[in-house]
Amino acid sequence: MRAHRQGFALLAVLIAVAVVEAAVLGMLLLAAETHAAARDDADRIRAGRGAESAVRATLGAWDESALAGVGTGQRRVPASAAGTLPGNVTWITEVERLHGSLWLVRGEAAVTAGGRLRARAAALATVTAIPIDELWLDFHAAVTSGGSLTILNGARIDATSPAGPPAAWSPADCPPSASAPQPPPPLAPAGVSLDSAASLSAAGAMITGAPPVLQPGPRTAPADFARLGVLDRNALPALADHRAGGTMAFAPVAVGNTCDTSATGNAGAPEDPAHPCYDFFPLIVASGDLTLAAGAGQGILAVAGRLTMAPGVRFYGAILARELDAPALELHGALRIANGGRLGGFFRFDACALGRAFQRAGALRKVYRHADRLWLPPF
Amino acid sequence: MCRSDHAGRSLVELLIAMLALAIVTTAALLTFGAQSRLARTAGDLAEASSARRTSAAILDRELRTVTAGADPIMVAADSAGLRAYRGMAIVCGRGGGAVHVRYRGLRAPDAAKDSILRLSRAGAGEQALPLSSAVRISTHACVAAPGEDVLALVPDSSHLPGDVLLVFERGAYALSNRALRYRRGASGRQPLTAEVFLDDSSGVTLLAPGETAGVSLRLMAGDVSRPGPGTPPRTLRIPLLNLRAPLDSLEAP
Repeated sequence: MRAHRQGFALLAVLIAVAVVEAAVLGMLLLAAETHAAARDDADRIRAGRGAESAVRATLGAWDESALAGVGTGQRRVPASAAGTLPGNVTWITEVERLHGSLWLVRGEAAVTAGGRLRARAAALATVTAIPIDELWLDFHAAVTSGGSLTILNGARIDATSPAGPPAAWSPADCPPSASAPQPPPPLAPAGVSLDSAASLSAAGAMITGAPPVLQPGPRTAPADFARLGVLDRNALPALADHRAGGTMAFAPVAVGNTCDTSATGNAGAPEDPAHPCYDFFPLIVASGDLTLAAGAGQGILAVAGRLTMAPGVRFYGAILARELDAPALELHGALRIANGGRLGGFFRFDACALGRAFQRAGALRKVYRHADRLWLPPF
Repeated sequence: MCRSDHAGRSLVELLIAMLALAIVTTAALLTFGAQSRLARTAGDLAEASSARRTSAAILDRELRTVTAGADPIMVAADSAGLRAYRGMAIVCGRGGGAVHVRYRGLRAPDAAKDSILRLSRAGAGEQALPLSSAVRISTHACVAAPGEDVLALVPDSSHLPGDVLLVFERGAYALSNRALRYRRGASGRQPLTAEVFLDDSSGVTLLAPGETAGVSLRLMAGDVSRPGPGTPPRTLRIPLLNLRAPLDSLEAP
């Protein structure tokens, strides 16, 4: 009888311990399962965002000239089309020319751990190559203004000189060959083109063109000044070689025989054909006001605010600004001002300078979103 | 040790043993009950967590590439009606009154429930078209990449090689009756998750009304049969990729 009672108590304790252990074990299993599910979820999100990053990286490094040989329907893995991201994410991209200048970019990312694939995702985007040849069609006059313009006494605006390179350039810079960069079409450019509501004060200035003053000129509505061809004000900063602001001076910068295109203020060396930056034509974008203190630059300068240029500054290419204050500027190319301003000096409508600025601008050998739908559902 | 000395001892010992057994048994039952409740709560949490993850994954996939202004998306308090894209086709040829495409998608196109959206190309906007048939074919004109099929879609319409067609069905995701549900067209809402969400505390809202910059998904799980606040609410934000303007935009001149 005594032996039976002792065994019964022990059995009850063992049962209780077993119940507790089972419950604890269940909790541990549940926690492990939840942890694994959460990790899978994180891996899925990491792969998805990694694929999107892959597409963005490819768009950022896009070089249209390197893809010139890709035909419609053909696919290619572009240069720098693979990489890694933190979190064991590897990515690759592939581009396909859908037709003409329309491209499909496909990015894929995979998350691995210990050599085992944990998640994979894709991202797709459609983009269009920038039609560079169309961008400079808005420049049909040496100076185009959407607001009141004051041209200072002694200023000279010349839109009648025969096409040809500026004095410092080699004649070979503007060859007549069809395969070489071409200047814009001979539009018989005007000296000054004004919006219908804009006023012009040009006492003592010399303006030549065909006609000297065109009012109203084409594409001088306020909305037209907010864009450069197909590139609107949102697209330009993303493409820019330099984001500028405040005060800066133009000065070419080279490291050895290589142009340092990342140096602030480096806007090429338009007046020194032997300089490594002679063929560097940057797109410089200022989201506010900009003051240029000195030097010579080339390329495309887009200023969303007021552009102030100190006497003696020279520029070869295209300038877009909301307002301009340039009492003694030397410009070879063309200028578009949304709200007008004050300018003096020498302005020459230069088709060769415009053509070089646009066709040799590396920033424009890119793609842009041609429609609202840039990103496609990933399949 | 006479017999009379033991009189009544067995009864006392038995009572003590029964009392001890009762205490141990009660403790074991209480422990078992507590552990059962704990396990059930843990299971509920796991189920709610799983439902949240499933909801987030599905809606992130469906909404992230929604294009503001181009995709008709209707976000109500508890639902989001949208074009649910199921595949993408690239036109690669034509013949026999059909357009030949390379197709990749979640499933094969189904003329009974799918339409196609032709993406914009130069000089033309997007265009939604009905899909009459979709048949798998073999043609030398179209070289499918891994993971792609070659299909003949009808009608031919005016598609050109290189056109991108998105295959979609009209659908609506809803957080109703305690679950994430999907309704295709006019059919009934089918649950995609377990019924764990609290209807009054869960919903879908736009992050920036009028601009559709993103969608916010608020999920709160709980058991309506048991009092209590339920699990802490979780909010998932799904920023849309296809915004009209990037954040670092220039001022308008």
